[in-house]
Amino acid sequence: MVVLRTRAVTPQTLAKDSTPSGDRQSPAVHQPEAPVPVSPSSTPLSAPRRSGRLASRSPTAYETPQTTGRKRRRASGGVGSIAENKAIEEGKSAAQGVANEGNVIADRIEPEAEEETPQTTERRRSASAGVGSIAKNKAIEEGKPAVMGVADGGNVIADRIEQEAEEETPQITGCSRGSASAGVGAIAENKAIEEGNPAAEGVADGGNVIADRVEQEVVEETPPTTGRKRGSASACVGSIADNKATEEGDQAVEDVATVITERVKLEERENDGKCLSLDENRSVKRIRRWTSEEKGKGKLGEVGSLETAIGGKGISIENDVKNGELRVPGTLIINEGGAECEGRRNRNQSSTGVTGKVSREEQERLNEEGKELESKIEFLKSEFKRTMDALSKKLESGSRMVQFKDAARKNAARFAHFEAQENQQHQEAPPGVQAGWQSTEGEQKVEDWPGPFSTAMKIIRDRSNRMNLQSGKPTSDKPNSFAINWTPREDGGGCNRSKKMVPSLQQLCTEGLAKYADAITSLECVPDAFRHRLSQLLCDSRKMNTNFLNLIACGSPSEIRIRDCSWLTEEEFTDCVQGLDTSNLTVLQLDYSGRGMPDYVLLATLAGSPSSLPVLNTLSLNGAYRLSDVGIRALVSAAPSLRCLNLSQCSLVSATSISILVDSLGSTLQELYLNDCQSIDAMLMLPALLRFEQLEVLSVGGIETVSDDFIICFVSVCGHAMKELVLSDCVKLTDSSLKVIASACPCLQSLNLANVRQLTDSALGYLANGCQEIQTLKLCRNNFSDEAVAAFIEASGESLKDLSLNSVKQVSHNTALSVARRARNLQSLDLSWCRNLADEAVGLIVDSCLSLKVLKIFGCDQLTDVLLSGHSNPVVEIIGMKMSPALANVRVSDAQAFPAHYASVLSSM
Amino acid sequence: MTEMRKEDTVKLISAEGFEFVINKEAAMVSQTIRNMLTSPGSFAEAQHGEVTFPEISTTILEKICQYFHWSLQYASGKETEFPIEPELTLELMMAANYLHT
Repeated sequence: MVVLRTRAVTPQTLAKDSTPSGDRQSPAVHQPEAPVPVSPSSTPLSAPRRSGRLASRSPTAYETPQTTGRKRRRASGGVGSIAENKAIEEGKSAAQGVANEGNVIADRIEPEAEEETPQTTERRRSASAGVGSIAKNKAIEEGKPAVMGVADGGNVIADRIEQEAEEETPQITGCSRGSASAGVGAIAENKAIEEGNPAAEGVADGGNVIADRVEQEVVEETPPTTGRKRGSASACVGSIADNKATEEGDQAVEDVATVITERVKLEERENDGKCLSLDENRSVKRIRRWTSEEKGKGKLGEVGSLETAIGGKGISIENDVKNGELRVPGTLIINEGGAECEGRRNRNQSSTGVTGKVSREEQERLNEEGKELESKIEFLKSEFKRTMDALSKKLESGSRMVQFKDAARKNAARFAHFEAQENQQHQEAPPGVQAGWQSTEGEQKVEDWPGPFSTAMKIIRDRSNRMNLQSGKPTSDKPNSFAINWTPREDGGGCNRSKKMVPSLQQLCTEGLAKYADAITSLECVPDAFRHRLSQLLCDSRKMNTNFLNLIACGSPSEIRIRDCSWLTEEEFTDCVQGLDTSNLTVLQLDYSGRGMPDYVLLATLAGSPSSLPVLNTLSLNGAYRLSDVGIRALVSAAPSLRCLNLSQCSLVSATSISILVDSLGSTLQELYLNDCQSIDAMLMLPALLRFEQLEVLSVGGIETVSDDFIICFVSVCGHAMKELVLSDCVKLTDSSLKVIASACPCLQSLNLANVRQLTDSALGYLANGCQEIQTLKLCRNNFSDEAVAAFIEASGESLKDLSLNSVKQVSHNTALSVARRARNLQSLDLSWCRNLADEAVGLIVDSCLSLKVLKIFGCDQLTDVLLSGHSNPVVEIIGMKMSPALANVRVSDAQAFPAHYASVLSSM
Repeated sequence: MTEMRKEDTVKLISAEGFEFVINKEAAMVSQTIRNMLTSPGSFAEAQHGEVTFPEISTTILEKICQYFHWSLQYASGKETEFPIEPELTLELMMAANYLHT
């Protein structure tokens, strides 16, 4: 929706505004390129905001400060020029658009946090100045939404600023504070009277947000910073004071005032007294000024109400007066006329956007005045309580922050992993009661079937019973005295480890190349493997740019792989692809290219004509969030020999695309990745899916609509050729799906069942009896018992190369024994969060599985150095031990990075 | 300077014919050279203790020898930087890939 709104702000509308606005901006904003406020290139700036989740990061790669500065200025100039828009009608959408821009700007600002020098703080200022200039908007009617929009902008900025809290130097913090508040402050100029109400509300929200963030930064900050922050927060409060809106002024200012003081109070606890009291005094001053105007009209809101609105920070309203410092919000209301001029002056200071240091003298003077106010504290406290309810109600219903929080809460649930107890509820109300029946029946049956699994289970059960009998413990106890024969080496294998830690020459060279990537003139004779490695390194270090892209694209490349195209704009994409000779291109990977690759660009370039990609067999457009069915149609006609298609995280792709795919590629497509495609309904795409004749890999992880019926239906038809199935996060699946998979997919080599929490031990039983060739099995957070996993490995562990038992909590000695005995070909093992495995168990595994290259033990804090130094496996890399230096040398194996490892056509990586 | 006995050394010959005589232990940092010298069955290289690299130039081969020694030093605890001139990097990377080091 944000995206749409931004588009509504057409370049024409905004182009009407000629010059960047004037006074209130900081110098950094004056720029000559103003006339193009929302050029096509800046629209895409806003586009990614919504899909922040999908796109990896914002595209602020390694810009020089100048570039960034220019960008900032352009963006804010654009924002600024909108301010001139006197159009009343358009004022609304303009301001909304501006708010979006503000959002975008803030978005960009955020990721730059780490790389920024004080220089860049200027940028922030200009951004805020841009926001500030909106204040000029004289549109009366539209003042309301305008200001609300700006408040959002302020929210967003504040949001970003918050997240930068840790990385920032005090300098930067101060400046960002300043900009945020300046922005808010500027709004104060809004003379709209009617709309003053919501305007002020909006501003109040902005103030809330800022104050919120300010609060959270309390711990990390030094007193000077805090001072500045206080100053800015109060500046914004102060500027609201200008708001001549009388009726509505109350509440707005109340809100802000209370917020500010609330936070101020919090900070006091940690901070230097003098500094704080100063600031508070200043804030007091300003409110005082206001209250002199509004005297008698309003009451300050209850602090508690803000608590509820903001999420209950548990702030007490107690009045702690200590050493002459002002504590309580109560001081706000103190109103003595004499403070007016100071208030004004102070406000001006901070309103200019720079929360500078306040001079000593001022401090002293303000201190004194502050003391006067103490006396009024008690009186005001009572006032608070009276308006608490009304205010809290108003805040809760109207506050944008609450809306944001709701949105976040709604989306967070998708990423949260709930405990098993909650899953019980799922199981109690299964969609088809039949399924439930079957599984319970099945459970008994699987173990009674004459098959390797049941034999194994029996053996294991007997073994553990025997053990328990011997040790004399009841069966319910974990057999701690399980006889695992493993003794650590006496001399310690530490010397083995250090050898692996020497960086290889290849690695050093690749890193060197990445450092000087801009100086490379040609990659002509460099084989594809190196190009990919280099490209990957550059993408990871955010140094990827059009230079390198052109290097890879020159000549007639056969493979282009770019892991992260989030920096690529539409123009750059168009330029690059227009010159690209695609006649030899077999592999194209442009992940996360949503920003630069909407449908129309695709249609104009890559997919311009049928068969423009004649030999392309692997295409990865992971995360192309602007790609829709239209684009897919064009792509499919352009790439007729496609065999492997990755459309993960393309949120606009729907089931129609699958029909399109099957119509042209039904007989050739071998691999289809649709992870996290939210618009795809599994049952809707089922008929199309069934028509694929050669499908070997299907990845539907994260699609919530994948159900047992879908799997059963699909697998019965297409299962015979399936080599890989990714069903991670398909939480609706139960054992019945596994039963069918096991019976219908004899060639299955890789299965990902991460988070399919409803599976029980029978699922493993089916799998063991059915799929004998499984090489890669990813289990994560499943509820399998130790015996079942062990039995599975006993029965079909020979072929296992990559096993993940991440968070399969019950894994213990039985599994360890089975792995050590049977899974001799294991190359990669993930035992993270399996806390029932002791050093001996893991040591046994490591010493027995001599092909083991990678062992992950994140979260296993029961494992100690005994394991690390005692194992005698020279090759294995153990990753995940707390504080272990091995973590520093984790090298991601290349094989994981690229799709299509089954297609025989492709060069293997 | 300690004497280097013939059995302890191996000769690496570049494309231009330059010969670099280094410690066997250093040379074995390269998996390729290690395989050549230690595999059962008689490689000519193993017999004569010489390996020729017709596609690796002298400057690159020299740098590679430096890397071998640096690597041994690193493994023994002394961790320093290994400087690589930018203009060599591309070729060096490809040679390193060939030598599996």
